[in-house]
Amino acid sequence: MSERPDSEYEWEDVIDEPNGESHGEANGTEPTRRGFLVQFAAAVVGAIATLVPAVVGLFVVTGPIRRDKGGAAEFLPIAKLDAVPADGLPRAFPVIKASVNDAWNRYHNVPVGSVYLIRAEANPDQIKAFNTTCPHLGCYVDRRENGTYHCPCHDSEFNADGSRGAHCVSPRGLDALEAKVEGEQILVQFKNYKTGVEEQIELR
Amino acid sequence: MKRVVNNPLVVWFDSRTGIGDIVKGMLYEHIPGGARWRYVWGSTLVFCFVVQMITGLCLWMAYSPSAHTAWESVYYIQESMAGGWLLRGVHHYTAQVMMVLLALHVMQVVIDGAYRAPREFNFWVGLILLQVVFGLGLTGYLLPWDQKGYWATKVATNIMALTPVVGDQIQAVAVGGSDYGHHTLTRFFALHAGLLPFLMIVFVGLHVYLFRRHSITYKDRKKPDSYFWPDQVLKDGVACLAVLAVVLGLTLLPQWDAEGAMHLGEGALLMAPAEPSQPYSAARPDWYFLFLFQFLKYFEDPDTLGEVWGAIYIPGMVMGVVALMPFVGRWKLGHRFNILFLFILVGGAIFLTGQALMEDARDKTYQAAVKEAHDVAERVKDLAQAPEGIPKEGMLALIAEDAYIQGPRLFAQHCSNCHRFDKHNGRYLQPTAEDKETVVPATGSDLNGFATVAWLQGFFDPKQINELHVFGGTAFKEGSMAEQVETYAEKNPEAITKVIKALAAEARFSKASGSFVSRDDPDAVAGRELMKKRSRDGGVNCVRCHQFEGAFSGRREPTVTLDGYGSREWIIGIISDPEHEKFYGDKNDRMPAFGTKGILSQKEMGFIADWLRGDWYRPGDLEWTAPTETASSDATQRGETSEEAVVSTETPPEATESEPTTAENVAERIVEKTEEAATEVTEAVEEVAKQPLPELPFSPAELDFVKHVQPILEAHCFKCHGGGKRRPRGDYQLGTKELAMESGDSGEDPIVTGDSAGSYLFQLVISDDEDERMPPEGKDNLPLSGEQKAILGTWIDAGARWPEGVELQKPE
Repeated sequence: MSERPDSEYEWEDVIDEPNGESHGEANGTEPTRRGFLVQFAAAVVGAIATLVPAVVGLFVVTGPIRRDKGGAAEFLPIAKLDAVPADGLPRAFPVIKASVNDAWNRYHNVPVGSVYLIRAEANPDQIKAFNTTCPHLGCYVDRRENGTYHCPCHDSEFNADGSRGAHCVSPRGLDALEAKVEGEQILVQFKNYKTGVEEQIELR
Repeated sequence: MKRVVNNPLVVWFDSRTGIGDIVKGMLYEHIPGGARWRYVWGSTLVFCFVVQMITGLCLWMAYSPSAHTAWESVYYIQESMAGGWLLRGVHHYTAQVMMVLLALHVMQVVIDGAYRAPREFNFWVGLILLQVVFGLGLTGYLLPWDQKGYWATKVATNIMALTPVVGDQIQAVAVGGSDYGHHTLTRFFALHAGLLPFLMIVFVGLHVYLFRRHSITYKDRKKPDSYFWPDQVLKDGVACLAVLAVVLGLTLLPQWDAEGAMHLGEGALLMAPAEPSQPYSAARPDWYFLFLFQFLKYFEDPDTLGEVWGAIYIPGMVMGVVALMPFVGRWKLGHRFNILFLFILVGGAIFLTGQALMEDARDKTYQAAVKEAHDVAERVKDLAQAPEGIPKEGMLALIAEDAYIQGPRLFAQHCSNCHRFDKHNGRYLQPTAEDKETVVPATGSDLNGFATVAWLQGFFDPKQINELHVFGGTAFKEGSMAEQVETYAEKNPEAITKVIKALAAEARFSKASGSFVSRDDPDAVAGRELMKKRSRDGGVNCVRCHQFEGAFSGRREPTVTLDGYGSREWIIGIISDPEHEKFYGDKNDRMPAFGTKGILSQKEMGFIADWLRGDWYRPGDLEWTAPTETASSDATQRGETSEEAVVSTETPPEATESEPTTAENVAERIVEKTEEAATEVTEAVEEVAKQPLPELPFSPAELDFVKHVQPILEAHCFKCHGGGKRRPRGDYQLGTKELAMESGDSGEDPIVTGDSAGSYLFQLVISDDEDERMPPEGKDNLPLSGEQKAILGTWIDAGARWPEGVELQKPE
């Protein structure tokens, strides 16, 4: 087919019927009430027939949106107090949960994330904890030897206190977590937060 | 161009199906101006898609999407199925080539103005196809479930969540929950192999249909018109073959390994399986998304231009401008604007890609991570090929039990604050000169090859012993051990060579580790004897300070046992409790008791020991078994305290057969022997001390410090026990009265006023053990005469008077 300028196109070209006539005039009859009903019924029947499986499928696939959010995050044992020397430098520890469900599997004692724990020289009973997940887009933030942090993905830098550093594309500082010491054991209330936004929105 | 077909079967078939018209329609497309090479790009893209469908379908037949089968099944395709690597390689590289062809195709369409009326719709269909291909690339990257795919996709799905209004919902549906897992894979696979190819087929069909409807955009008709078949088909075919050649070339691209040997490429890379709790600093998207990755680094200010601008708004706006090109292009200047805009986009993308690559090349954290990632990827393949194979729990179960992988991770986390491994932190990260200001230098020794002959040679080198990589950063710098190293390097280097062999044999390295020294090696046998012999008998007398094979001749508590030095049990012992009497005791510098304090488990300490000792499975080593706890350390696993855990399980030779070895009784025996030996020595010294020294020609009352004692101390002691820059030997100084009364490394009181026999200084002066006698024998050191000894003894007994303000001076 060769090119034709726009102006040559006409509506009739687009909705060409086999017999050259338009809808509602099939078989040469005038539009009737019955003709309209048949069209309407055809549309409804067709819609139901396709929509039912589509809706059921979509309902299942979008299940995660309506998932039960669960209760507040619990304190999990992370490490012995002695495992964190009181030198103000961060150390990474995996967060182990007693049991975790992944679809059809239940796992026991699996790492669900990791945290940095810091004990200041001046205040060795106080534990600071940060989630190692970058608040920018979720990479694993590295610690530098001088106690600051650096995300290897988009080069976000974080200060030793977790706040945003000199170059930092992360909209907020590292996510601090609640930590407490019970006897010799450090416990952390492990939470993940939505990445890429300035405010802390807990993910459950 | 008409052809008549007479075959009755074909005629019958055509009359029933009308296939003839369809084929004719497809093949005899009219091409104004004739077939050209410049028309081939669209066909090469269709070809790529067909290749992807064929290879993808075949991969599908071997792929299993779940968190513990995805990597494993891809590994199986790659390494075990005949030709699997080629199939996967072609699929992988065709995807890459497709990205390049797409870019060329889009550029050609815009430059030629082929987006203009009446082809607006086809242009938009093309843009949709572009998105679908991006989607296929993105979803496909995750499916092997390896580290790089996992982390890159994590970023990608977090970007999805930034979409205004429905972002969180899109993310939840794509990931199948809030955590990555089975359902992330099943969904990504359904998208990659189901929905997206379906959309692709629909839109490619529409694209080709619309293209045929509007025909080719030609510029001139100098040459006669022709048909698609066969002129253009031949050109398209040649182009597709060229594309295939490029794909195969990339798949088979020769690679050079570390030794410089060339290998034919083995298709697409497969990294180690995803480990969500392990840092992965080498995370990068595939190269065709690098420009978007780099672009995000510019959106720093969350209050004005936050990352949602870089990730969503600006890319969205750019796509919007591109979609409006057909309208802008109606105007002549508009077409130029479109071309300019496209060139800025492509140039920008190339620039950002180059920038990302250059930044990574300069980033040593990234480089270290890449090195480690490749190291682990290779290791994982070796493990998978081990006779045991991959368990049903998946590859991670093997990784969790492998010392080669776990050892350096634990080392980096727990040891690398003080120690180094081959100058790095266990994970190839090595502070450079630039970091001097921010990095505290490692203070502990470099443990690469610990207890091997090479390592011990460095340790016994007087030039190295006080350097940072040995004792330089520790409390033992220029300490007694360093002194002995210096002494014997000068006095008896041949003996030291044998002692090194003996110690390396104590470690009982496996033969596979490459560090093995037989305990029956003549040098090792001789070395063991030398360690126990006094130096006047040609020995090295290690047992003056260390416990070894039941021997100990020292006066004080023994330090670091040499029984089983560097063996698995010994290393676990010292990590577990360096302050145990078998190790540093109260002389421990800063090393934490990792086992006693519950910082590391027995298993974790075992990983560190096995890794340091090179004790891991090696490919082809069918006899290899994981180093297990021996009978003695079974006791340590039962026990709660580390008391048992730290004791060397090496049994003194004479006791081997008499009774079963347990950690407890070995410990008891060793301690008993130590006490016996110590008592013997003390008695001997006391005897000597009781021996009459020559009478002094003056009465004790006449003894004058300045006149009689000071010259002796200055001439015979002060050179080593003086002040100055150098650390005084044994940390004992004689400069002033106060210093002279303070004990040194030994912890013993050097001068007990009125009690020469109880004064350590005097005990050493009159000792009959030449290894401890002061001053030590040497070129410049003259032994003390009997009279000089008597002067010192009498001086102490008479109250060790030291007039106020008198300070010793260096002898001239």
